[in-house]
Amino acid sequence: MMFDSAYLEIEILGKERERFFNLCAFHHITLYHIRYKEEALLVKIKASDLFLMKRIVKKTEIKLRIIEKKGLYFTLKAMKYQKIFFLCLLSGFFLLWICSFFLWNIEIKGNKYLSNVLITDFLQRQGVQYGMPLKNILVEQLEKNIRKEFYDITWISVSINGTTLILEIKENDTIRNQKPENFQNHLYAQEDGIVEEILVRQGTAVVKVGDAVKKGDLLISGEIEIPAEDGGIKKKVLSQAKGDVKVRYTVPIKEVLLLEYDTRIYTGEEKREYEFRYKENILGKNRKKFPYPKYDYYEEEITPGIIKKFLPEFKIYHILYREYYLQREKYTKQKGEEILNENFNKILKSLEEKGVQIIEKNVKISTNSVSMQLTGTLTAEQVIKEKDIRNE
Amino acid sequence: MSEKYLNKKEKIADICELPKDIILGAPILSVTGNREIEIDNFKKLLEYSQEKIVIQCKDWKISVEGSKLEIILYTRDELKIWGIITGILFG
Repeated sequence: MMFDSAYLEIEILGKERERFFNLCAFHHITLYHIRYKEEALLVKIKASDLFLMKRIVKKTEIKLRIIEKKGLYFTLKAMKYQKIFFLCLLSGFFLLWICSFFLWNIEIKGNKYLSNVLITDFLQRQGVQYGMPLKNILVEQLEKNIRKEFYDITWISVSINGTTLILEIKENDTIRNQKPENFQNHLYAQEDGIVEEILVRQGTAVVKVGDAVKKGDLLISGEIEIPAEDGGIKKKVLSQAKGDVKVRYTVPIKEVLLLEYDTRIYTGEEKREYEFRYKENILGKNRKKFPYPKYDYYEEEITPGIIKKFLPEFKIYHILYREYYLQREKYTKQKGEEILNENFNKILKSLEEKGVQIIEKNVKISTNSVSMQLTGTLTAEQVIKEKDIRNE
Repeated sequence: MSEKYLNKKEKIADICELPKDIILGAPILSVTGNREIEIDNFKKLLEYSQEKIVIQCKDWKISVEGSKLEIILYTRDELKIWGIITGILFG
């Protein structure tokens, strides 16, 4: 098709136009899109066919004028002096593409005790170093070798993201955080309440069933008394208190909902722009310029794959600002109750997640001109176990 | 060209199972709705205006009538016309 390469739009004036077309066709010159423009005729031809037309033009005595030049050839010709620039740009992209097949960054996450130097030294010994081809990195083998070398690592994930090798590590914290043997631990009350049940597995119970305790009171002591033969105390051994203590307590509930609230009304005004960021820094733009007095802000990452691969920290974002204004509205009684009930259910759920068992609910909703309140108390039971131990 | 002679040629084409457009030199017209017409096997363009295009074929003249007629493609073998076509006449 003619649009693949360079083409011309010519204007034809004269009497023997039909003869001109016939002669062109006879000489294998293809004519496209012949149409009238006032008195003249406009025709599109391939640029190379113009030279073949010379004799025909003379023969038919028509006037021919070039109106438009289009196609890649003419575009490049117009950019005669920018050729080198485009060549450099192309070779730059090509170089980027080639570079994206090599390792340029190593990222180590989650290490607290093992230093980055220690791990990168080991990686170097394994043959993993900057500038090596990504295809030569055997991820699974590397994971195994790291686990073998560092016994403190309980979990490791090695992955390649772009040109970055990412090592996510979890170290064995429990071994590190273990207290010395002679360190004393006790079991304390978490809330004010009454002891319902007590079961001691290790240590000495300080409270008994039915006792009222306050938050922070000692429940089970880690001290174990070893009796002497004469009935006295031979010595006291410090150990970790272990046991279950069920404490019943009341939880006060107070939820207030203001009846009047502001709602966002969107004006339909929108502003879109692009943002370039490098390591969370915005490039070439001052964020302080806000487009509207009140607006919602949305951002979407649209970084092309090749840039993501080679420069993972360089990001392109599409930003959308939507203008709105605030309008004051009022909740209906039904809606207000719905919201308060929802909030109340959330409280119940969060308590249940903590292992608290709800025994009794005593709440009511009251309304005044300004707000709605949900007030009352919950009777709850919680079992305090070793995991709740506070180190002294 | 006489009717008799044409019939003879037609008969030969029928017997030999040869394509009639080659034997008779007849034009082939493909019409798409009233917007596009494609003509093969023609001799030359006789007249071109926005309302009428006349084409010389071997034995006939074909005139395409309508409005806003444009020749989209014109080569030695093929002619394609766009526009609002109201009539095709053989003369």
